[in-house]
Amino acid sequence: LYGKPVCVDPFGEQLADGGEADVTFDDARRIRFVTKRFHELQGHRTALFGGAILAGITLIHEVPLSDSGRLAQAVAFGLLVYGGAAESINRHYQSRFGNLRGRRSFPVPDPITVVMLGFALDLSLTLGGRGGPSVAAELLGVSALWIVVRDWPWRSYHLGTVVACVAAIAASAAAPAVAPAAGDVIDPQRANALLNAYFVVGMSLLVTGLVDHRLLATTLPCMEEGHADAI
Amino acid sequence: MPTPFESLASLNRLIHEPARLAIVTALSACDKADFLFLLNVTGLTKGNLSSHLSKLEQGGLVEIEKRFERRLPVTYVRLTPQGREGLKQYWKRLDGVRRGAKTLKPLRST
Repeated sequence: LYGKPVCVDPFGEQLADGGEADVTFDDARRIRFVTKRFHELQGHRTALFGGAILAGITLIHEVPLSDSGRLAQAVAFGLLVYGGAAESINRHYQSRFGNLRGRRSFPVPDPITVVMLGFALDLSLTLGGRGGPSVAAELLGVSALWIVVRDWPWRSYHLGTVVACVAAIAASAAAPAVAPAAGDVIDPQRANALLNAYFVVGMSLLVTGLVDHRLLATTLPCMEEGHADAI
Repeated sequence: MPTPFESLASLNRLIHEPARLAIVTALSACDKADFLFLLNVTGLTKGNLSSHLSKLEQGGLVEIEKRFERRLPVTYVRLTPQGREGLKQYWKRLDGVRRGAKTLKPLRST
């Protein structure tokens, strides 16, 4: 991934107990990349969120769309479970890879925030009787495209999310906006179109989250675990 | 204009040592990092990392902050403004050496 060394240490200075390697321009680029994207590459959180969406879709199929109380309970339960698990994942990353505080830079919202915002906008638009493509898929697609451009070639696999989101947008755009029948909160046809789009969104988050984690684990091989204190 | 060899000789040796270069490069991409992260990103042993951090601290390139998080001691390391400027100058000079070396022609053997 990082190519051959292009610059060697002209002074040839080595530590007495060895274990040193020359730092090449490519190494420096790798170190800067993994440090800058350290929090974004902690993909288990994103993968968990994707898995929660997929589980939620399965659950929603079991709940009638007219039962808004049970739907709200299911969403609240899912968020609680996700919150608890996300905290454990944070601690795991901190104990395995360490911790850092990033520099202030152009804020890029993480995929979880983007998708949550998209869900809220989708719900708001659908309840207002409007159709059109899934906003969650649109926002995730744009955010994935931004990641591909910014982190090329390291995170080029986010291109898969872009393609999946385009398919989800096309599928959800085809569903017409129809007022829900009496007793339903959302028109079932529109709900199914959105759920199909969310399935793609959830699957994309699950896969890219796992690949992000793998990239972190390979670029930041775990030498020590558990203690962030100097000796 | 200095020759490539003069530029090479004027490189900051405190930064130029490979392990210390890896440390300051990582620190240049963040505000501060803990000891465990630096261990993982550099691949050094605890003893080596501590030794290099002490040298960088003595040279005024990094600041070391010890604190407790969840009742555990954590060591954070941060690049000082002097360290940030030193690294910037280092890469500038090294890039100059690289460009200068391309203009050199091999001596003809007689």
